[in-house]
Amino acid sequence: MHKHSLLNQHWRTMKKRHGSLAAVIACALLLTGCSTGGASAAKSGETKLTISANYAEAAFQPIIDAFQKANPGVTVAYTKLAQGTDTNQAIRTQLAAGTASDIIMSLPGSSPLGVVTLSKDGFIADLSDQAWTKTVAEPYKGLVSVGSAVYSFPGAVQPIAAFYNSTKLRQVGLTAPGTWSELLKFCSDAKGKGVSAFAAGMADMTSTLLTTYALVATLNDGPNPGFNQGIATGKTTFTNSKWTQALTQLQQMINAGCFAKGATGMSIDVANGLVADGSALGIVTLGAFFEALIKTLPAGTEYEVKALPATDNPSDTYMPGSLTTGLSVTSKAKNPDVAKKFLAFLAQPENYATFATNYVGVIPAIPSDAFKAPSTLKVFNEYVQAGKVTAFPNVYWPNGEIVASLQKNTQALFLGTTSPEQIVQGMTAAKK
Amino acid sequence: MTRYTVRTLLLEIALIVAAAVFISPMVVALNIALRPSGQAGSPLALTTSPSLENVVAAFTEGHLGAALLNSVVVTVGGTLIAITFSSWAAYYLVRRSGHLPRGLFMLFLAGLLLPIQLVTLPLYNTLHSLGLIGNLGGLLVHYAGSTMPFSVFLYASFLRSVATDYEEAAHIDGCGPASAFVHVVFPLLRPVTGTVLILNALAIYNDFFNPLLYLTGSGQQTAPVALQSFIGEYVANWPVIFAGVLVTVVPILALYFILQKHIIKGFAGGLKG
Repeated sequence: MHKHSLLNQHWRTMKKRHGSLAAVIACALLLTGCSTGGASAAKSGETKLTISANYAEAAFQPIIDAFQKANPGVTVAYTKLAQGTDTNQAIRTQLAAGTASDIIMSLPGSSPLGVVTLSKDGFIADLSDQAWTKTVAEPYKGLVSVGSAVYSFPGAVQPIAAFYNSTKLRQVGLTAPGTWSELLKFCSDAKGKGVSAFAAGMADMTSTLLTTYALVATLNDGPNPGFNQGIATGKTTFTNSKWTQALTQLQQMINAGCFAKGATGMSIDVANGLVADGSALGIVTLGAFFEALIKTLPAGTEYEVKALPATDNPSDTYMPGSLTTGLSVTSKAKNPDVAKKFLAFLAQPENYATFATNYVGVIPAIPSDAFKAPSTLKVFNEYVQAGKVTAFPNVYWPNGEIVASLQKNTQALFLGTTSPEQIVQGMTAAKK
Repeated sequence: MTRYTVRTLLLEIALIVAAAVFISPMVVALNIALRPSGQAGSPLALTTSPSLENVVAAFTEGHLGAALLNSVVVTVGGTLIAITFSSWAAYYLVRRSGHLPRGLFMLFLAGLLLPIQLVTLPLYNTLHSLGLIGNLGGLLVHYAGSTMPFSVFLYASFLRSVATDYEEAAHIDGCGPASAFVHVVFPLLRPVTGTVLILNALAIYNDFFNPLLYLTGSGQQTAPVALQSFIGEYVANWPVIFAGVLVTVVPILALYFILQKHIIKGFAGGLKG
């Protein structure tokens, strides 16, 4: 009996505890809906346009604000995503279920979010009837199209260029090279002064490719437009191209001590740090990295950006330029007309110029008089105007194995365990 | 009393070195998190003028406050659901004999073998049809289902080692099966409950993919998704990410310290079959 009354007492205590627990759960569920900003709900009577992309809010929000101001009754809900396997899978799941945003980010090529893949799966709409598609500059139009149909608004274009710490260059009495011979001499002179010519952050696989792409642009892709498209169809091959020469020149740079020690395991941040503290005079880098690099420079440090030469004739030089993420209207968009209106708004010269300026390190893929190139992009802008820009070669390649093989073997080239010929053979084998 | 010998000294030195190795990533993260923007240098160089500007940026630009609250809600809700349902389910499956409980147990075990990628789209479609996309309720339903197989497995394994004497005594005292479970069996399951709690809480709190999938476009996000907004197309804002990570670690670390005793007991005894 005593035990039973104890149980009853215990039960009453439990009831009280469960009551408190239920209250906590109820509160928690009431809290459901803690808005984290960005994508806000539309008020009744308003049209809600949803966008999911990886543009920094600082670059994109001014455009969204301006669009909302110009279109009363339209609310834009922007979700900032990071590019990656999880994001790709999440977006593709949402596309399959018909719940993806009205506008999603898309990439050139055949990756999971590539325009080729997305259009083949019927996930994105044909935008060819939009006026801005007629003004997209070549070679970028081909990258946002499948056949003659345009499927993506091109984000912007960023270069691969050599970024130099001019203050340090002056200190050691050297100048940034303009020809291939000057480049090799620059490396040996820098070594003589106790510094490295270039830092390289090859722990990040994208950075592994940058110097090679810069050399290939001048030696192969610039003089042979259509070469990379031909790889997919079999019209062209890596073996019968200047790829071996480009990789041999990269090997010459490695042997000449152009790169700071430990490049293969160095992160881009550490590599930037070497340029900032003057241990390295420059770095071959992407436009997107310029801002981070400039931030690491001590106050008052001067810098300059130039194309990386690959021949002894400066007029031969081409610069590689890559399209950043683009924007596509989804096939099951709830507001396709508003979505297209948004892209048309973004394509207006002054809006596109604002976007490209805020994005930092890029220039518009639709020529815009309103865009004033910052000092870091002046040279690249001149190359664009002169038609001396090539797209990154891998965007045309038929699979991801080729670039993976190139990345892996370039690391091996730095370590001295492979040769340019073997790298080209690896790329050829990966194509099959 | 143990004598302090050379061996003790060597052991102490070894433990201090091991602790330093384990703590070094946290020190580097803290060092970078406190580094003001514009201060150049290697990640290992000591930050000379520490600042909280990166923490402020994580809260203002990454909306980390609301994201943390959402993370706590789904973690608490998901874990409570997992504990409640899986302990009841395991009690039934272990204590009842017959084909049905055995078959159901096998079904739960099959859930452990099923690759989550296989069910992502059908599950997403179902929750969409139920109107549960874009709110934390959908996530809770997802976690309720996804945490059940492993939790049921743990509870069932532990329950098999618990003698039925106490339950029988409770039955003699007039308790039904439910009452006996609440008053007698569940308190005996405290060690394994600690294990289930911490494993599920960690998995839910750290989950990135499902909140990204179910909450994208809703204006809500959890802490891991909020932190990824600082990863750009090519450049990541590491100081703000590290500052956010250090803040994000606090709730789960607090939970660990509060439940430390139970968790250690749980890991020590909770997996005994």
